[in-house]
Amino acid sequence: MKIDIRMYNVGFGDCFLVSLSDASRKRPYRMLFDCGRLAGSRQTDAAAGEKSFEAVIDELITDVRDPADGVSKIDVIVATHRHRDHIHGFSLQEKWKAVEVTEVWLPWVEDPQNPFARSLVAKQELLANRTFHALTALRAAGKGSNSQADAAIDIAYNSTSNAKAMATLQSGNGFKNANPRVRYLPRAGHEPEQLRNEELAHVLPKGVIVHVLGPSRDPATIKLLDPPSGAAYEPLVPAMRALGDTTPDTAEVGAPPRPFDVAWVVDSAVYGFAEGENASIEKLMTTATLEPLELVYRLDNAINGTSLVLLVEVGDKKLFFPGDAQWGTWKMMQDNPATWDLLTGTTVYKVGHHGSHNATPRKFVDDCLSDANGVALISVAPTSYGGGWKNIPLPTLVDALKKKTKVEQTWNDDPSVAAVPYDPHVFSVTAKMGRP
Amino acid sequence: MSNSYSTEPVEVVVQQTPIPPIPAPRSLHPYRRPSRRPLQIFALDPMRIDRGKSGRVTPRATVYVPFEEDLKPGPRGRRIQVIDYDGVHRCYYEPIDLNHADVLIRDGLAPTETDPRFHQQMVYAVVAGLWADFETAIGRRLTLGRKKFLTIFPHAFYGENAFYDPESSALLFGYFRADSTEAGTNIPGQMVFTCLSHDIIVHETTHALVDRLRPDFMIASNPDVAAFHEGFADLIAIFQHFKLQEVLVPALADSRGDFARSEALLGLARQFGYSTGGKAALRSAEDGDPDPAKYRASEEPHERGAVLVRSVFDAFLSLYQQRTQDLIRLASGGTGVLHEGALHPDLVSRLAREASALANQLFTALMRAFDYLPPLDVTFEDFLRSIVTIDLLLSPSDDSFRVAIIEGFRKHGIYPTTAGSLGADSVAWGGPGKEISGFPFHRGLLTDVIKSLDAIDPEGYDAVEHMYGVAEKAASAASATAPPDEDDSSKQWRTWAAELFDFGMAHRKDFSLDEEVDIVVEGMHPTMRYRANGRPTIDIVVRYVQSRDDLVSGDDLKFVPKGGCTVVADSNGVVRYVITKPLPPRETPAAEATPLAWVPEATRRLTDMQDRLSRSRSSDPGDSYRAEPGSQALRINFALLHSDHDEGSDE
Repeated sequence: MKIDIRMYNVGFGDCFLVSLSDASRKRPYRMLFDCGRLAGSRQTDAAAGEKSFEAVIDELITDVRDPADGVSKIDVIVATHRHRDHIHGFSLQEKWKAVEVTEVWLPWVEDPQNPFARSLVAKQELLANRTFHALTALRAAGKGSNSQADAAIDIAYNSTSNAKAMATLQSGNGFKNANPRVRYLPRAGHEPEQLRNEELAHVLPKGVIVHVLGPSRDPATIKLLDPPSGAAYEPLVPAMRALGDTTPDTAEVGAPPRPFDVAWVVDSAVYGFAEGENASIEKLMTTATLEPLELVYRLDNAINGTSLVLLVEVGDKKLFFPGDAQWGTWKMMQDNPATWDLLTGTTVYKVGHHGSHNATPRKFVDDCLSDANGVALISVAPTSYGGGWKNIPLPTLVDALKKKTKVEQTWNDDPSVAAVPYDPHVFSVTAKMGRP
Repeated sequence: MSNSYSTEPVEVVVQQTPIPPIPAPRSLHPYRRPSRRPLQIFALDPMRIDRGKSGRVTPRATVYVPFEEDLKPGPRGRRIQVIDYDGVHRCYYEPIDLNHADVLIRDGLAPTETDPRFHQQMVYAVVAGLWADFETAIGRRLTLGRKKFLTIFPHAFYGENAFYDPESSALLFGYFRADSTEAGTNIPGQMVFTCLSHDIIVHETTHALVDRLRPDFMIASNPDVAAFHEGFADLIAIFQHFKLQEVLVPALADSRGDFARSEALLGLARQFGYSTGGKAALRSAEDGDPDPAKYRASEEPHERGAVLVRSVFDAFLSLYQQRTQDLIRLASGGTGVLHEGALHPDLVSRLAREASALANQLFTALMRAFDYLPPLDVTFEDFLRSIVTIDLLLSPSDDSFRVAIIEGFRKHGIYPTTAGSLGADSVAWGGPGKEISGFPFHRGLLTDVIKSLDAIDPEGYDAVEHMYGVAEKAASAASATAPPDEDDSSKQWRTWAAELFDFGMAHRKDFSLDEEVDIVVEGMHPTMRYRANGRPTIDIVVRYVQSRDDLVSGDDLKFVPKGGCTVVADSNGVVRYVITKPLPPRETPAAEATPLAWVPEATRRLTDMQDRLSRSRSSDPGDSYRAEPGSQALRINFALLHSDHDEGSDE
């Protein structure tokens, strides 16, 4: 069976189309993994022949057109997690109205029928919204404005609800056809879950097994998905207030109550501070509690941790799409010999989290990537803040990958490496089928 | 509620009219200045008592803290300043004036939850009292050096957290509403103040003081370091309770003398636990049987810290039983089995006295152990060895204490991995193994040294602080430049520090340090102890630290491994102990020719540290986004550590 994987250049984001050409059906089976772009991703350079994000989506929609009737068709859309850089494309709702989608696969934490998942997502959203507004106010106040703070704002923004995109995926009327089947994976009690042609013949060709390796439903791993809650968040409030944040508290949280009647409030003069002393005290408190960056990082991490992790086994080839899974999920996979065994011999590896440090364990590179004819795909671009993130992708990780397999990047600033042609990035391989 | 929410500070006229001073009669006999100031506090968290059961009011206590005459409203003293600035509402609350006659005459304000000025008084009293106890125990004055103040914000933010922030040298306490559905003995939705919890104040202050004694313990270079910070702070919080007779006596009476049954003393910060929805005390010294596997298995600082707490507490319980069995036999007509019903108040009071004395002995031993702790990378094993070392020195003939300590630690899986036996002699630190000559000791500074050891006397305070300022500044003694107003004494101290630097540089090989890299004199202090024969001895403790830029690995640009050692010498200049945390030396032909005995240990340390660093970075959510890779790795952040733990206790 011929496998084609196209890595669309969406800037800092992910968009991968897997096409499986099988004799049993005229048009190829198509799975789309994510379609998003970070707001702060480097702006498209039209002069250099780069396409805008919208243009890339148009191209994708053209790519999946069925020659028989001219209608764009995707068998499965996999939205690995709710980050903007993975799903923003779905918020361009009118475009998707032209596409027929048979199934939508989402991580189980997005299941609106699951009360636990609902509260988890609500918590993440609330925190994302609050930190985003607070940090934006902070920047508007002309304070804390540096490239790192800008980046933090964007990371927080990346984590906000992205409701429009989720509506396309979940509402039942986001696509040309009504009510595509939405699956929340893995199902409770079905870990490790496998999706096969036997049950899903309408979307998966014969001989294809999709292994669902994450997100876990194990309580200890789920705990890592919990965003820092009030306890960690509330100490931030003084810092945000001190920096001029006047964002009203959301209804869910309510205004922090006063500990004492206002009659106890006094002018700082009562303390008899020396000149400038009270300013430095207020500042001291601000520094002590100012951890918005830490908070935003944790939130980002928590949402990355919800990533749907899929290993698509096509005959003797293995395509591994871990989304942006973080250490918690990786550790679980690493600790399970059967899972690790499954990952060994991965042919195509969609490098987790755009090649960052904590989304690909060294052990995976050492143990599981051995196919010299395989490829590691890194979808990444510089960001617009200051020097960007120097460690995404992490140079030492890229080097380690290169020792084991071919590496393709949508963007590359290494002058020693020949410029990668802009588009299209298509990786093709033929899988040997037949029962092992 | 939301109507009253305003960020505008309201001007309030301070109502207290100062009492007109009574003209002092000229006296030939001036009043002796008091050395202590009595202040009232809540002895237990205000909402901790099961009112339905006992009907008692919250126990209060009066503590006696060092008298600071020029204490400003706040209270703001020379080392502790309480500033009631609320960062959420961006306002100041009215500060207490502890020198106001109306306040002075009644030992400070009576405990109440509704008056912020009492909250300020309580945090000040508990912090100042603990600080003085630390000084008494370590036998010298403890100042904050360049940081100067410990600033305390009793109502810093809204949230169920309280933490020490080393950067700003501040303690920040949160306030929050109790759960509206499940609040234990609290009223649902009631405001809970972490600054009214004796345990929490002591715990956080201990972090600050430990940070002062060992700044490098903020780097969690092995799993014990953060756990040590947590466990030690909990231990101090427990033993501070034994000082409060108001808590101890009723707790003993309730539990019929059996501590294992006395939850009031053991359950740390129960109010805190209850108010975040947890069922049990946050961290308790007694739960389940000792299990050595727990120590090896738990990496989480609080869980692992709890192993330390239990080890010491098991020793405490065993010593308490030994020391009270005669009393129990006397009270039970020789049977050792107490009759049913309430204990005789005399017996309770005697038991309380034993428990108090024992707690104080333990507290002192734990504190004095610091003189023998390495400057960095501490382990529980190091702590055990240091406690046993100091006990051997203080009481060579009575071994009951160290035997109980060794046994308490052993039961929980902590023992010296290199010692041949569990005898006190092999558990205690050994000598340097060879004569190390040339230790500089300035006899000219003996008067200053003795002064510095006087931790109680408020006189001479400035001189000692100044002297310490100089000594601490000599971090890199060789380059220390003289301040313009330097007096003779300071000059001598600085000279001494410089000599200690030279001494350390000359003996790097003896101290398991790299001979190519400069050292830093991180701290030096004299310490006094009384030998068994009653004669005082003065020792000098010096900490050397070495930053090894050459061992930085490619990806971890901002994490510099450190080696170091603590050197203890007596006043004759004889080096008694060298407690080292080595790192592998650079590969030189000389080093290869004569491999040193400590190199394998040094290599293991480095490998462990790098492994830990890599894991810490893997689980650091911000690692990829940071401008300086590895910069936050292994650094303890109490604000996040404590809050994470609270979330964990929700289960």
